[in-house]
Amino acid sequence: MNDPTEGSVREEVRTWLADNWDPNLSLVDWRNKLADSGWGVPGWPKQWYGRDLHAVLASTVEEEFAAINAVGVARTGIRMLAAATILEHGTDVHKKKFLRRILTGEDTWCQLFSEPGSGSDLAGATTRADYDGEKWIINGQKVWTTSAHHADYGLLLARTDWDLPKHQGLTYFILNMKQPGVDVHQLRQMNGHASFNQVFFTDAQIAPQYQVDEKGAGWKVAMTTLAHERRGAGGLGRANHDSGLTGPIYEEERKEIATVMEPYKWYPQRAGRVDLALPRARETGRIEDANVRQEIAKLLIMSKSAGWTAQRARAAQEQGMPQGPEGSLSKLAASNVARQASRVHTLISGADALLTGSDGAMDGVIAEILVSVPATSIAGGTDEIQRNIIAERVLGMEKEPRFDTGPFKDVPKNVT
Amino acid sequence: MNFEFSEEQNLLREQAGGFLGDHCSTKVVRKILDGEESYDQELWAKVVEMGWTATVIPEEFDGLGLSYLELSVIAEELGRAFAPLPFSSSVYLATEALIAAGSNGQKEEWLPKLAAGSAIGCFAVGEGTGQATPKSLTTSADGNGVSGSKIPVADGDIADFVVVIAACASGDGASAYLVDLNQASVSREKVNTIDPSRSHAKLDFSSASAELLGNEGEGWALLQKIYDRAAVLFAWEQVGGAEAALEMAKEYAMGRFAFGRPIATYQAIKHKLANMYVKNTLAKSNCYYGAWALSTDAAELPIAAATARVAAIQAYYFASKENIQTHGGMGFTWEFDCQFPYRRSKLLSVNIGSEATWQEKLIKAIEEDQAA
Amino acid sequence: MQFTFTGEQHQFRDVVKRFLRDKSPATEVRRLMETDEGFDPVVWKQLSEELALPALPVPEIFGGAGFGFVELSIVMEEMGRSLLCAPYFSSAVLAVSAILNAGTENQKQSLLPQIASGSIRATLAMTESNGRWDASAVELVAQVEKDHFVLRGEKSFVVDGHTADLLIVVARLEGSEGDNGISFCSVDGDAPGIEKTLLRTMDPTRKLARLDFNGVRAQPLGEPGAGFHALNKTLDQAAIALSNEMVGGAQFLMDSAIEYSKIRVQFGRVIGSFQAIKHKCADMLIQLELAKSAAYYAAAAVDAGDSCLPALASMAKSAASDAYMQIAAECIQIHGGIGFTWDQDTHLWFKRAKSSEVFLGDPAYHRELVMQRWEEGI
Repeated sequence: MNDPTEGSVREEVRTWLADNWDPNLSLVDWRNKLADSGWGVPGWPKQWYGRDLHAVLASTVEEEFAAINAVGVARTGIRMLAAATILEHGTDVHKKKFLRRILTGEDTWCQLFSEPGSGSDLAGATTRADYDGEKWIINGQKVWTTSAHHADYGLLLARTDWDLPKHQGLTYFILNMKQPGVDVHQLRQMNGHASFNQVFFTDAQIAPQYQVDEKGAGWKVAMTTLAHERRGAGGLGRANHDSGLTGPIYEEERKEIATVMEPYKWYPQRAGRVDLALPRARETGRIEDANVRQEIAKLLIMSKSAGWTAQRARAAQEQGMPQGPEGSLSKLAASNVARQASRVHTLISGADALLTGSDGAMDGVIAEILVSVPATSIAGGTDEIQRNIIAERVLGMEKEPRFDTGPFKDVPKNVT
Repeated sequence: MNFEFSEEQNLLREQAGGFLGDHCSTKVVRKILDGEESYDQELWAKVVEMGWTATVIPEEFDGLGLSYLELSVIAEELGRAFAPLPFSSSVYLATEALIAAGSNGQKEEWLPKLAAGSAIGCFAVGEGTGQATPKSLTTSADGNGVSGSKIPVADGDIADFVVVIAACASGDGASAYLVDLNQASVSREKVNTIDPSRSHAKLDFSSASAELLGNEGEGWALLQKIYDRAAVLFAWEQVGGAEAALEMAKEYAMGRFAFGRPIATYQAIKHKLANMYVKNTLAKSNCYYGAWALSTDAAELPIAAATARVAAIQAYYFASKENIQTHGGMGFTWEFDCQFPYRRSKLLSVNIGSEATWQEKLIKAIEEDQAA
Repeated sequence: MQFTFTGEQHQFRDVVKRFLRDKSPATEVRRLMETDEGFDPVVWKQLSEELALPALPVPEIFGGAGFGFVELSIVMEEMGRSLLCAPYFSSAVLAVSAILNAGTENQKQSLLPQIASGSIRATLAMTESNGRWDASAVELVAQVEKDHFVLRGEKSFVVDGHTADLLIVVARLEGSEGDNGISFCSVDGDAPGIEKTLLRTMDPTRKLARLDFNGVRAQPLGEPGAGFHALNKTLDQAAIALSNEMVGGAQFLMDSAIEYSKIRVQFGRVIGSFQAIKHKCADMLIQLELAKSAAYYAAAAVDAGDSCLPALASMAKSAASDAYMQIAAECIQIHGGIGFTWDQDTHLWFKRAKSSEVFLGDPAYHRELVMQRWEEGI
């Protein structure tokens, strides 16, 4: 058979969709068809629910799905990171047991990496996995875990050897979240929302076959997961949630997405709501104030420039050019924008910025900006860590001297 | 100006700090933040017992007749403890208004009660969106009393009386009115604010019986005078809070390890703390200047008050946000205490006029000073 | 809108960069800044003849090379990086833009070919001693006589005004005020009645002059009294070109600071391994890249005929001005005491940053323009 071309793929998927797409199917039934046919994840290997298609051709398939509003595989949460990690490092047992139910949305996954004592310093994890001759016994605590309260499985990074340097003593596991030794508690943020969980392990168990890759290879495997996260493999994919489409399958998909999105309602506020600066300044009359005008202009310029910088990075990437510095700046730039936005909203609003909830300006949105912005410079790597990364990897500056290269048990660490 | 706090005043600071350390831990603050209560009544009773509410009230009205330096010392410590009390409303604003403009009868009626803590006063100017001006006031007085709405009024839900700035009966300018809150023609409704450890309300007046406080038409001038005085005391509270935020950040940074070292050994953190310290110290110097001007009734008070207020707003906000950043993700959680200084700094940065308002006042005061 | 440079544009940049590296090392900048003329005629001839840089923005029908504003901006960025002392900004940007925006076809035909070839150097005289950059601030009066103007008044802060062969002057018709009556005209640099004074400014790398017009005969450029829009467009384009020059200079300073931090040792470590320095550099990079994005986007917007150009120009100008100044200050800080010495080159760029910051209007002025233009809806 000839290599597939854009034309041949387009035709093939069109025909298949014409024969099979049915908005009256249940979500799971339809997605099982996608898994069987390989059209749900055409970039995956043929033997595991895919068609071995190149990324460009895979996006052709996606276009055809979009053209007729056909629902795709489940993409919510971190399931696609789990899948990518399993495809790269997992055994056939893992693939057989987990991949299909990831695609159909029947299983939900969470990522158990960060700990109260190791956020920026992820490899400093102290959650322990001890082998008792038959199974791994897990004890410790994870934090910032999205969706842990309804997850079926977790990707766990745990310490299996305390005598080795910290990166070498970690092992990667798949943990069944629905077991007695796993306790999930919601973690409430200072803005009142609870987007994350804390997960406590007390003699939780993992059968040896759910170790991923070698013992001690945990850091390497975790890097795979994180690389996919940075590439944006997680997230919603093409979402029909506000498309206005009707039909049972769309309802089901909408519900699936709404459940996952619920804890993130405040994220636009976290980013500062630049869009509200001008309308609020007009509404309050503060638009007349010369100082307010200067601060709003600074915000608009910063925010526009950050947008253009992201577009430059994307354009360079599309042209296959090596990534320039513009690609590594978006997170810090977003922090700067959010901080300036918070400043502007404070300047614009007088005492009424204090009022929250239904008493507050714009139903409390303004006050929510003020209490949410501090998260921007922390979540997903603090500004300080971002600056280190930029200075060391982009500008080529020398690294800090290290104090944590010896056996992990001797490294000074947080008492948890 | 050149002063240091006296030995007695420093002793008072130690005593106040120790007392609040014992009775106003962050657990107490959290109880009010999370609960339905508007303020900590037990703590309030103890604070009254210590005589703090009576500090500057003249002895003839059952006060202690102490100076504003003593009150500054108390303010700083209350700020440091994020005390969930109606102290600022009752002492810095309502008491000051009565001392400044009350008739002898009004003073006799209210000051002893304020001193004894049996009455709590509050102060109402703002009416929602935008900065209030004499022209923007919709709350007004006529022969039948005061009508209109005020929001947000700090401690308006629990106070016994309020000093209201309203358009005056003659329709010319603003006047201050004393309104007893325990009357049927006032309704009050608690409102939610960014700092739930301090309660706020919306007050609705419908022909509420009111007494003129000071002269008709002089309400706006009185307000400026009260704000100048209160600004110094608020600034001390802010500086106290800023120092608490720095202390919190320092303690955490010295005990928190990342990559095998305490994070305090990283320059990023070290310099953050140093910047907090510099801002706090400068703000505090301005507060000293303000306290001196306030305690001596100096002509420089408007300049000193505005300088202290602006510096304190900036220092507190900076310290409280960098404290969160120093704590990382956990600093943003509900269970950590970083939210107390952050919320309080936001509250105190606008409650008697925003940073921009005070910058404007500062510039005006300097211009007037130079013209004189 | 174009978000990356094409392969040809990259190659073009390399050629310009190599040329400037040879012709405008810091030693040359130091030599030329001490002279009154402020440029080297030999280098001017080379960049005109070998690289045809003055021809770049001039359409082919007027004897130019007909490149876009993006290419012009590439040249400006590289000249900013090397701090070239030459009348390129005055002649190829300010004067050419003014002639293209204001002139008639015939006037373009008669003026542009010589500017494109570099055989004459022109400049634009717009602002006056009031230092304002809006049309209403123009006070120099053009009295209309049959087919020519008679100019009376003064112009100040005229880039290369004391050496230019041709002056494009912005005047106003007698009795007009505000945005009305704005008129462009051209006059020979050595026309009788012009008194030229080289201004002593803090940035000796770009020369500014004051010109007094005592009844000077000048040729109208375009319709007399109808120059308002041409003036605004010229100022917008000039701001964009200058922004690109500024990000080039800022890049040079940032590179030099980072390079220094990698070799300077204190407490047994290179200073670049300390977070205080690292984080400063990371912050410089962000500010620079954001300013570059604004400057590049605005340049591409000129070529695309974007109707938002005025707002984009003001955004670029304020972003680039702030970035250049901030980076110049940090660069001195990172160099420590040596950064403040005469022998170290940083101050040369620092001074250019300062003079560029205020030329065509300071960042606060442009932020206010952004607001006005934004409110109109861009």
